[in-house]
Amino acid sequence: MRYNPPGFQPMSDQDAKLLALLESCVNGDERGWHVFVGDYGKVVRGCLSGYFRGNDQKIDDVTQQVFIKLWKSGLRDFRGANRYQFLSYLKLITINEAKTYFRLTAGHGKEISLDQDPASDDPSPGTEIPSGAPNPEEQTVAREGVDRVAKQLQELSLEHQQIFLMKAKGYKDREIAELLGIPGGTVASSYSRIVERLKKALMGS
Amino acid sequence: MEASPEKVGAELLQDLDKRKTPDCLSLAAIGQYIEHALPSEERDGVENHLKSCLYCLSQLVELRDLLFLEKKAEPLSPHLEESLRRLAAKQNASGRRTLVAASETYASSLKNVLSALWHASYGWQSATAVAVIAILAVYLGVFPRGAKDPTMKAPTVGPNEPNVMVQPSPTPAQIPEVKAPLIPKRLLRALSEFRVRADVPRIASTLQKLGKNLILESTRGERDIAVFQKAASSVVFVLAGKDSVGSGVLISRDGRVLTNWHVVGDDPKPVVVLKPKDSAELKKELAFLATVIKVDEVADLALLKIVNPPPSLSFLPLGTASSLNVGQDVHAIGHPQGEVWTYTRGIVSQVRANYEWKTEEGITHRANIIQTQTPINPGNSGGPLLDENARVVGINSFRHRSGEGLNYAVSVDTINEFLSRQGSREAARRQAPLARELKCTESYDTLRRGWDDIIGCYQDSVSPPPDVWIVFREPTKPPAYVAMDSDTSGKSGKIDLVKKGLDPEWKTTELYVDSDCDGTVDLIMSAKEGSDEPSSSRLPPPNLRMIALAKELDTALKNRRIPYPKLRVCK
Repeated sequence: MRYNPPGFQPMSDQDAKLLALLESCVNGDERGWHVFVGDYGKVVRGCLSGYFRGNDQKIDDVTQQVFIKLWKSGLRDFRGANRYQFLSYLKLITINEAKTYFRLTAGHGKEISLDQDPASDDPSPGTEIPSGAPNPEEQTVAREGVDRVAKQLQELSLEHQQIFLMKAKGYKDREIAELLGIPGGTVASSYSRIVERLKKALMGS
Repeated sequence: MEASPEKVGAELLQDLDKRKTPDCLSLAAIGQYIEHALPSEERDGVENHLKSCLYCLSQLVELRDLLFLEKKAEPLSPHLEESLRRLAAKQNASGRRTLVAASETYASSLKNVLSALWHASYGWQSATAVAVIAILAVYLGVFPRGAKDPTMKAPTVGPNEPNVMVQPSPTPAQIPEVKAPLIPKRLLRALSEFRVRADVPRIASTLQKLGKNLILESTRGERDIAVFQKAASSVVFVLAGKDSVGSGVLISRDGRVLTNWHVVGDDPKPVVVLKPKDSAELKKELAFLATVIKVDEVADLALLKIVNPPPSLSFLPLGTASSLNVGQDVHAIGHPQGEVWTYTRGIVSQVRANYEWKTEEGITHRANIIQTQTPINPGNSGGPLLDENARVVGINSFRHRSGEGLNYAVSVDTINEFLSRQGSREAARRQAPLARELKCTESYDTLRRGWDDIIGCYQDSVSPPPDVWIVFREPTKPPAYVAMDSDTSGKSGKIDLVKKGLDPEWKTTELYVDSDCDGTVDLIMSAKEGSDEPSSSRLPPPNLRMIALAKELDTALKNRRIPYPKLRVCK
């Protein structure tokens, strides 16, 4: 079904407030900036805690880098019109700063895993590539597998699809349960059932 | 070679982007889905799409995480938060200082010009201001706030909504219930600045270049002195386009200025500088913004109107052509080569009807002309040719390229014909548009968003920023057209983008792009609202030209009586 979201919707109060806040920060208003740091510091920190696995020092370092970037040009360059766009923009900046940080601290990043970085198609130098590059044969097999899994996934319920995706992205059961608002046990059992089903689909060729 | 679902899942994530289709959901739709802000029928549509699209589902997961963090994440440690907050103070202290140092001289020298210009251009900008207000109205909640509205339609006006959309006053502060922090200043700035910013540096640099005082000779014959003294204060300095400089003459007390079309050119908002009382120099306080009332390219005439003229302007009456005799003394006042308010004198050499002349640009002009010996030079263009009683008998227009003492002025009978043409339109022009009639449903940023890479003219670095025209067919409906002149190639005044709503809801738009600004449509694209990318594009049929669109726009604007820049399209 083709779905077109309504065009140019009236802006919500929250969106308007956010844009006004960004505006005041861009204009160099310190009070606005204080509010902004309070509101979005935790979001940046939350994004980073997944990558750095609780290494507080590094999280703080990168958080600071992100906010320096935002203050200097990041907020000014934001072009979106609602807070969803801003959140994803914020995440993009955060990820970029994290990558820069990895690059600068190359060699010290042993405890960091980037495998769940959704935006890293090309792992930056200095980060660990999870496994050696697969040979062409394996690649073709994998390609087919991916398509089959994708197809199979679409037969599942929306919740199960989400559970699988989130697992693939590296979320923990507890986090998934919290985000989806379902009991932790359900996540684990659902996931094992999903995996079973997908395995069958993979074998079934 | 056994691939586990887990491994495959990780690989799936790698190429999610490839699964994106034109039908994919906007971030706003996904966000509203997560927050249960969508009406049920749309919710079903979104859910169906999510089930079959892993890309959107992945977006959903990411956004859900972010929204969760926004609400529930642990706050930063007080220490870190404090140091982040200090960032502003620190950066402010150093950043501001350099900024101030750099702009100090410029600012002080321009302060007067700016204030004069703001003042002068106020009326002119009323249309822009109205658009701004209208947009503000959207932001400030004149329309139903979407989040909890069960109908969730694009902005159409329902019966229970307030009738008065916009206060007719151009100051946003007077709109009731405005909370200061909610004003989208960035938008306001973008829309209001593009008018003034283009002018100020231009004026400043020209004034600097030309800003020498000219001490007038006082050894002329008495009659000549009388002519100059009588006429000089009615002769104005005209500044148009990028660096076009010429003369003009006031012909009415309310600030109408007669000049040459080739002085004004495409510029919709030339600047007119009046002569100070006791000296002949360009003064910033005497610079006024003007609008172009009408032009006649064939006769090379243009009629301007000072937007906010000072009271008690002195002006010159028009003479008659029949009273002119060959050999009679005629006088010219103008600004040849930037030597402001220069007086020259000569005699009528001949009067010629229907004279045809060609310019270097290949434009052919035709008019009744007066051939004179009065020396004129570039810069004299548009200035008056006066008889002994300081009546305007011609507009100095051109001279012979190689011959000497062969100068030509467009004769007063051609001028009279020009002035009498379309007289009624002038009256209409001076009326300000009714603010409450206008309403805008798109912000400037929204218009721009998503098209940057395709059109290639909307980078932030482009200066001056694009002009935008928004055309409303019906007061309560979304605009019928949005046209932009992005001015990437210095061909200002030419429309290079027309965005047209195909349906009354403005959900589907068609975009006509003139990428090389030559007046021809180069590409037609259509787009569904909410998507940031065009869903289809095609080449135009050969007969479809931007000129047709521009004309349509032109008519629409005229019917609305919105003062607007003259739209010129290449033939």
